[in-house]
Amino acid sequence: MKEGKEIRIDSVARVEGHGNIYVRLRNGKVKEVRFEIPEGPRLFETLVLGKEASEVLNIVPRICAICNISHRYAAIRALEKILAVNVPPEVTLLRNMMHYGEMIESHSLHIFFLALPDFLGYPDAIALAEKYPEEVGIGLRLKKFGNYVMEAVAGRMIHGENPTIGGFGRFLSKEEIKSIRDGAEKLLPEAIRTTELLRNLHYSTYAEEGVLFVCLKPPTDAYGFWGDTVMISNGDDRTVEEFRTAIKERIYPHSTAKRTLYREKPYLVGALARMNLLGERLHGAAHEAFQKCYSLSWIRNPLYNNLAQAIEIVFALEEIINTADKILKVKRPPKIVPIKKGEGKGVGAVEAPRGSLFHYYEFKDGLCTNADLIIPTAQNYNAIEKHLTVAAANLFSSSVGEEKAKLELEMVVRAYDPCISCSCHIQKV
Amino acid sequence: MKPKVGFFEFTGCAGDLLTIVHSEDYLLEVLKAVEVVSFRLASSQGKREGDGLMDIVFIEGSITTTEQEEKLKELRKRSKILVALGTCATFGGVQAMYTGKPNFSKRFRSVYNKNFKIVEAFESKPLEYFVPVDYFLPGCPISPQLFLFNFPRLLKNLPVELPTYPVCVECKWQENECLLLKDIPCLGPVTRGGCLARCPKDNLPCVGCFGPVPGGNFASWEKNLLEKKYQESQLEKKMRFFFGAKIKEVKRGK
Ligand code: SF4
Ligand code: SF4
Repeated sequence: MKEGKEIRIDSVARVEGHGNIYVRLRNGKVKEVRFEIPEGPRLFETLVLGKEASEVLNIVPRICAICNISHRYAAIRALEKILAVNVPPEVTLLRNMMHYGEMIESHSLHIFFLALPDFLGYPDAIALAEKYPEEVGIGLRLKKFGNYVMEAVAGRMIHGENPTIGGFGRFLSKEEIKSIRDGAEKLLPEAIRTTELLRNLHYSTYAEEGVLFVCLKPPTDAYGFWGDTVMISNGDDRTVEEFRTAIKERIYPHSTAKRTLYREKPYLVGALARMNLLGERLHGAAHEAFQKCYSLSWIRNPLYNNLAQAIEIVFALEEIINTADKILKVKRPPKIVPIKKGEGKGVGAVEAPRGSLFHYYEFKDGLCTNADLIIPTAQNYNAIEKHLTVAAANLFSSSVGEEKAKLELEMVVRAYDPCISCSCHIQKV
Repeated sequence: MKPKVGFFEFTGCAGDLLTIVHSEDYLLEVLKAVEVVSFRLASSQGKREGDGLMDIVFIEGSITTTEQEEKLKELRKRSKILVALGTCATFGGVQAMYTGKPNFSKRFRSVYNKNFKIVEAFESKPLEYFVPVDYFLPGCPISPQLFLFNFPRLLKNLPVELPTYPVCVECKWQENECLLLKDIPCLGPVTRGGCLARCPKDNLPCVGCFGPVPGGNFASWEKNLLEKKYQESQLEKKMRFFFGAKIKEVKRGK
């Protein structure tokens, strides 16, 4: 008799939003693996229609709290392109600074509170803190600092309105910039220790499988979190406009999130993709950490995403120091640059903590007439399922037992740090 | 026995639960006094949906599917006190801005294909539309200070206390220059305080994210701006962002 069996992990814990893992086995062989997203839809692309540019900016960061700054930044980049607004360099510097703050906040939340408990065998960071108070302490301080930067620059920790089209409602004072700089300097040694801590963990190999990597190419030859060109690990370079139309978006019956393929292939975005594609461009302590930690396994094993995030925290702290030094040289706080025209279309892209984020809008007579938002987790879905499928096949043909197998599968999903609120906003077909 | 507390989420951005996670310095003390039976965002401890009767249940997000509706009703049965956390749970959130306009199915179809069947979805609605809600903590996201002030109150069986004045009051405290005087349509006069006038402090108009202030004088706010260059539809559009499912009552002046 043929034996069928189904394994479900409902509401994977310690990820943002609801996601389920479903595995179907037959005669001990894995027949189907799905990552399901049953979140309620919010239809953001329809919410922005008929809105002025500044109103679009009030709405879209609400897609996701964890990466609200990235959504805001991507939208600002798109809207300024469309409306012919050119901001002075110091505005870009301060925007980058808030973006680094978000990277630190999001990555440290993910590493210490969502992922590390898995690696060390605890249900959560509170339990972890009893045995590893020092490590959790580092996580808390990093996260707090990231939040502090976001709050200082954006006006609030979450959904601050201060970064706006043409500049900032209020530019930061020299004292505020200095205090951010001091904070970064103080935390740098702890961030470097974090890379050491993660480097020495055991990374299981069940999910190993090669996929394409995608990230934005920074405008200079440095490491960075935005650009107008997309870099793909098969050697292709595409403009963001070309890339947006080249990726295929599909809706699957088991998920409220759309997913994308590049040339029919799953691809991976996020810290791991950025490290694989841009790691050589790092400088300073981040480069040292990269050289110590990087290995060829990074090309196949999604679990290294956490280590890649740790190196990015080092990078972000060093960049905050550099950026602060540049801002401190600015004589007068810049004024908001007014909007020049009322129509056009364009893509704005930034690297969100979880990967490349694209905001596309069309405007007519000053109002939004069409929108398409492509978010990291939608792009990662197919890669997540691919790695889950490989892991499930390896796990269920070995003797690890169901409980351990389930945990390993959850770890794969958590390594990706999927952001499910984000994915459920749904694009137009 | 320690009181049992659960944190749950429906349709939203996780911003309210994240605000709580980000307040951990202060929160850890408060949490010692309770048993957290479910906080899926933060822990894989225990049953993910919690277990049995809970003393206080916090819910973020609005209701947009029949499945969520069922879950909410079940949670209500299991909770002694149910608190709506954030503007989505309280008013429906930005995703409820078209409330009362019959375009939901059209909007839905414009983004999903016909074969799509995972959820039975409808126009976003606040929790109180389906079950009695004991308290509301509005805000998009909630104010961490207001949460930390009210959490211990709830444990002592005291009612939630919120500012009953508009954002303007907090704005005046800080001696900001009023944006309405510059003809900028600031929602401060009709929005509940609690954010310490964060946006006007940054020279930007209040967007109304704490929802309508009780007894707000919407008619006069509108009239003032109509006399400037604004049209009624523009002003209503702005109010709809966060007043969502309440827009009719607000406009009727309830
Ligand atoms: S009220 Fe605002 S912060 Fe809270 S879930 Fe809704 S969108 Fe997010
Ligand atoms: S700026 Fe806005 S919140 Fe402040 S007093 Fe004027 S109307 Fe009120």
